[in-house]
Amino acid sequence: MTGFLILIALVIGVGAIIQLVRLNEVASELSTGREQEEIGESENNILALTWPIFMVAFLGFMFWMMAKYGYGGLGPSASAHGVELDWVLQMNYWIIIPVAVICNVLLAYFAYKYRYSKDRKAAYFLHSSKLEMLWTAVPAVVLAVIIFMGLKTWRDIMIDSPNEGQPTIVEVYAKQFGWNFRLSGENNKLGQADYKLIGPATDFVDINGAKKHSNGNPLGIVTMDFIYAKYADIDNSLETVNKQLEEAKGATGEYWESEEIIDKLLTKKSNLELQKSRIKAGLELSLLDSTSNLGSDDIFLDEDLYLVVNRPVSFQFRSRDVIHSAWFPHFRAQMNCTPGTPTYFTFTPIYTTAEMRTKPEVQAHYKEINTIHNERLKSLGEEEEVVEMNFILLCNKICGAGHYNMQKNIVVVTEEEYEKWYECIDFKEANPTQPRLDVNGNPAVYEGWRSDSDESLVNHTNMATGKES
Amino acid sequence: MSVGHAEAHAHHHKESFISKYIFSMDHKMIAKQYLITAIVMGIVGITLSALFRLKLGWPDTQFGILEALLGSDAAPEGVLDTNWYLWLVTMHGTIMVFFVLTGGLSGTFSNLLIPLQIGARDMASGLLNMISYWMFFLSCVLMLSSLFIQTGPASAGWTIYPPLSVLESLQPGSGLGMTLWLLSMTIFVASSLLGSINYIVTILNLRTKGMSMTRLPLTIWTFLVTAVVGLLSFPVLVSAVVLLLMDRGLDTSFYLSEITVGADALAQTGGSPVLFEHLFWFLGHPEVYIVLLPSLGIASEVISTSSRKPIFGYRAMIGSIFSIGFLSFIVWAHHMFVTGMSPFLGSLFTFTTLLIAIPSAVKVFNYLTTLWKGNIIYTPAMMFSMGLISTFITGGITGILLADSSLDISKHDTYFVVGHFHVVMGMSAILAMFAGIYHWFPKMYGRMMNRKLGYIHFWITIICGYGVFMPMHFTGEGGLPRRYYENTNFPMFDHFMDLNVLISIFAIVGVLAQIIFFWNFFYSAYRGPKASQNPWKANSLEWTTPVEHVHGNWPGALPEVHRWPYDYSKPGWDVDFVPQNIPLRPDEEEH
Ligand code: HEM
Ligand SMILES: [Cu+2]
Ligand SMILES: [Cu+2]
Repeated sequence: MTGFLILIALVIGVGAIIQLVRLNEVASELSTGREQEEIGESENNILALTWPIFMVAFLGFMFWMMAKYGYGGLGPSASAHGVELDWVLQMNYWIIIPVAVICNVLLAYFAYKYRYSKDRKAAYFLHSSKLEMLWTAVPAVVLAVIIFMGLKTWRDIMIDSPNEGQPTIVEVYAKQFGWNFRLSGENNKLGQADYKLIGPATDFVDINGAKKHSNGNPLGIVTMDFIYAKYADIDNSLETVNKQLEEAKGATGEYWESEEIIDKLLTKKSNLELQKSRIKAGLELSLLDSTSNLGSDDIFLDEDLYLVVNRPVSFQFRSRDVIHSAWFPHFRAQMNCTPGTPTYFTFTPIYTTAEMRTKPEVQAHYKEINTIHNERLKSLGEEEEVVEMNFILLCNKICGAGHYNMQKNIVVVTEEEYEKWYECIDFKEANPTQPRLDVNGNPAVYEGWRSDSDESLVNHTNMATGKES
Repeated sequence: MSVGHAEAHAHHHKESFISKYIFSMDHKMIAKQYLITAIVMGIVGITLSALFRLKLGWPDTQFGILEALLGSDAAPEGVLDTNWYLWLVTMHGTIMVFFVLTGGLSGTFSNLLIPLQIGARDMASGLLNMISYWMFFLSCVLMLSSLFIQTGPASAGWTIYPPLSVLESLQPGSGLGMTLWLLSMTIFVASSLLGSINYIVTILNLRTKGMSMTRLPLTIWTFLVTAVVGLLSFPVLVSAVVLLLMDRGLDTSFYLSEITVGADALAQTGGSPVLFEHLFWFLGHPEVYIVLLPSLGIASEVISTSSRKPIFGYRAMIGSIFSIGFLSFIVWAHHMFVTGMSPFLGSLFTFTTLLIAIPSAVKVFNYLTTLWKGNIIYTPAMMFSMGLISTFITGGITGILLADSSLDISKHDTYFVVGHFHVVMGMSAILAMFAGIYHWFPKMYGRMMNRKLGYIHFWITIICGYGVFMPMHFTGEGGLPRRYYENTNFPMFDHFMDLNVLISIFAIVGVLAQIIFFWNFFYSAYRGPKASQNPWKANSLEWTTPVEHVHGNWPGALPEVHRWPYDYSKPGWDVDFVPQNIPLRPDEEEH
C-alpha cells in the first residue's frame, strides 16, 4: 500500500516535471524579456484569486487536523501541576489561534481585493502614529497577560510544588540506552553517589570481613560496602597489571617488552593507585566521620517504577554518560539528565494507571490505537497483542543510536498496592549488599507483582521490561 | 570611492578567466558564487531530509533502492541504519541553517545589493570579500567531505551538545566526523566575520551622495543589523567550538564531568555540558535572526515594489529591526528551560523572549497595511514574499507557547518545536531566498526567469512546506520526541502513523518540486530572454545600473540620491514609481 503510494507520488512528480520542462522549453523560445516582465491583468487576477483559495484550503487542512488529531492521545493531565499547565495552554491557544487565523485571512483578503488595476493608484500611505501605537500596545497588553499566566504557573511548578507536603524521593538515572531508578528507602533520603564507584560485578570482603557480592553498583551509590567492592575491583586490576609487569621482566630484572607497552602498564598502575587513594580520601573518610551514610537502604531498580497516587514525588535526575532528557508526557513533566550535575523535578500523580484507563477519551483512543497497532503487526506477520494505556518515561534529548527506544513504564497505584509491590522487590537484585530475607530466612525473590484489580498491569509491565535492552 | 576610480576602471585591461570568474573581487561575481554554492549545498541538504523522511513515513518498508544507492552499511536490507539516521538529521540541520540560510542568504544578497543599493562601486574591501567567499567554500568542502568517511559525519544533532559530541566511544560520528564539523564551522565563522565587517564598513562609509541612512532601502538596514548581530555572536560559537576541540583532543574538561564509558570512569571531571549549551545558544538564538532579518528585508523590498505602494511605517520597521536585533541577545536560555537552571532565570528569559513578539507583531501588521489599498502585481517574487508573511505569522505565533517556560516543559524537544522553527525560520527564509532570486535574477544574469514555472514552483513549495510542518505541531502535542529513528516502539504514537506518511509524501514531493526551480534557474541563466534595465519598475539604485555588468557598477559617475526608495504611486506623479536618483521637483516634498 505505502509502496504503491510512493510510486504514485513519484510518477506524478516526474511526469509533472517532464511536462513542465517541455512547456518551458517551448515558452522560453517564444518569449522575450518583456513577456516575462509584464503580467497581464487577467493573469494577475487569477494569481490574486489563488490566495483566498489557498487560504481556505490551508485553514480547512488545519481544522481537519484539529478535529482528527487535536486530541493528541495523552489524555487529561495525570499530574496536579499538569492540570494548571493544560489550562494555561488552552488559554494561550484561544489567544493565538484567532490571531493567526485573522492575520492570514486578512493577508488573503488584501491579496485579492487590492490586485492590480490600471485604473487605480495605490494609496500613498506612509505611516500613522495612531495605528502603530495601537499595534504595539495591544500585543503588549496581551503578552502581559500571557506572561503573567505563564510565570505564575512556572512558579507553582518549579518553586512552590517541591516545597509542599512530604514528597517521596526517587532518583532517575539515565544511560545509553535505558533508565534505572533508585528508591530512597526507609529514610526517604538518597545517599551520595559517585561515579568512581561504578564498576563490574565483583565478589568482595566487607569492612567486617564478611564475604559479599556486588552487582557492580551501576548508580555509584556511596556505601561502605560499595567502597570495599570498588577496592576489590581495583585490587584485582592492580594484580593483573603487576602480573603483566612481572612477566615483562627478564631474568635480569630488565623489561624486555617495548617501552611503549611498559609505559602503558605503568600509567595504568599509577592511575589505579591514584583512583584508590582518591576514593579513600574523598569518600571513605567522609563516610566514616559523618552521618552521610544514607545510601545503605537505597534500592536500585531496573524495572518499571511504581508511584502512589496523590503522593508528591520528588525526582533527582542524573546521567551516566551523555545528556538525556526524562520526558513523562502524561504528567507534563520533563527534565534533562546531565552528567555531573543532578537536576530535580517534583510532581504529584493524580490518577492511578487503572483509573486513567477507564476515562472515556482514553478508552476511545486506545480502541483506535489497538486497531492501528494490530494492523501493522498483522502486516509484519507478527502476533496480535492488546495495547493498554501506560504512563511512560522516554528520552527526549538526542543521545546516540538507541535514543529512540529508551522506555520504562510508570505505574501509579494506590497506597496498599504500592506496599505490596514494595514488599516484593527483590532486594538481592536491588541492593545486593543488603539481602532481604523472607520468612524462611532465604533471600526474598521477586516474581512479578500481581494486582488483584488489574491483571494486565503485570502483563504489560513484563512486556515492556522484556523490550528494554 | 571617487570618480577617478571609475575612470581607472574604464581603462581596465581585459581580465583573465581566473580573475573574472574564480578569484574575482567583484561583489556581483562573489554574490553569484555564494548563490551557486548555496544552491549546491541546498540540494545536498534537502536530499538528506528526503532520505530520513522515507524511514519516518514508512518504518517497516524495505527500500531496496537505498541499499543499492548507499550501500549495505547505510541501509542493510533496505532499512536505514540508526547511526545513518542520526547523521542525516544532523547534517541536514547544519547544512540548511548555516550553509544555505546563513552563508547563502547573506552572502548572496548582502554582496549583491549593498554596493548596488547604496550607490558604491564595490565593497569596501574586495580582497576581504574574496577571502570570505573562499573560506566559505572551503568550509563547505570540509563539511561535505565528512559525508564520505568511514565512521560517518557528525551525528549529535546540529546543536552538537557534549558529551555526545566529544566521545567517539559513545557515538561513532563524534570521531573524525565531528572534528571535520568543528573545523568547517570555525572556518565558516571566520568567513562570516570577514563578510560582516565588510558589510558594516561599506554601508556606513560608501553611501553615495544624498544616500542618508533614512533613505536606505530596508534590505540594507536588515543586512546592517544582521552583520552586527553576526559579528557579536559568532565569535562565541568559536569559543564554544575551541573548548570542545580541547575536550576532545587535549583531555581538558570544560564540558565533561563524572562520565562512565562502559565500566571505565573518565578522568576528566568538573566541567558542565550546560556551559556549552549557554555558549551555543548565545550564538544559536541570534543565528535564527541572522537568517530571518535579511529575509524580512528582501520581503519588504519586494512587497513595496509589487504593491506599488510605499512600505508602511518605514521608521517603525527600522525600529523593530533594531529591537529584534537587540533582544535576540538576551533570550538564548529559552532553549534551556528544562536543563535544571534556576527557576528565576527561567522567568527572566520567558519575559525577554515574549518581548520579541512585540516588534515581530509590528512587522506583520506593517506588512499587512502595506498591502492594504495597494495595487498588487503578482510577480513570482511577490508570491514568495506574501508566502513569507503567512509563514511568519503562522510560525511566529507558536513561539509564544514555547517562550512560556511552563508550557515549554511539555513542548521542548518534541515535534512541536520542529514544526515551529521550520515554519518561522525554515520556510520564511527559504521563501525569501527564492523571492530574492526571482526578483534580482535579471540583475545577476541580465536575463529573465520563466514566470509560469515560478508560480508553479511557489505553490508546490508553500503547500508542501505547510503540509510537512503543520502536522508536526500535532504530533508534538501528542508528546512525540524529535530525532527519533522510529516511533513504532511506543504504541501510543501509532495514532500518528498516517500523519507521518502524509508528512513524508509532502516532503518528497516538495523536494522533487525544487527540480523545477533548479531547471528554471540554470536554463534561464544561459538561455532565458534578455531582461530590460528595470523590469519590475523599482525605485532603488540597483536598477539604474546597466544590464551588462561593468566593473564599478555605473559606467559614468555614481548616481546621486534625492529621495527615499519607496516613492511608489506618489501623488502628483503620473508614473507609479519615482527612482531614488530623480531629483525632487521644485514644489515637491520628500515624503
Ligand atoms: C514570536 C517570536 C518567537 C518566539 C517567542 C520564539 C520562541 C522560541 C522558543 C522558546 C524556542 C525553544 C523551544 C524549545 O526548544 O523548547 C524556539 C525554538 C526555535 N525557534 Fe523560535 N521563537 C520565535 C520566533 C522565531 C523566529 C523568528 C525564528 C527564526 C527565524 C525562530 C527559530 C527557532 C529555532 C531555529 C528554534 C529551535 C532550535 C532547536 O532546538 O533546534 N523562532 N523558539
Ligand atoms: Cu537518551
Ligand atoms: Cu531562540
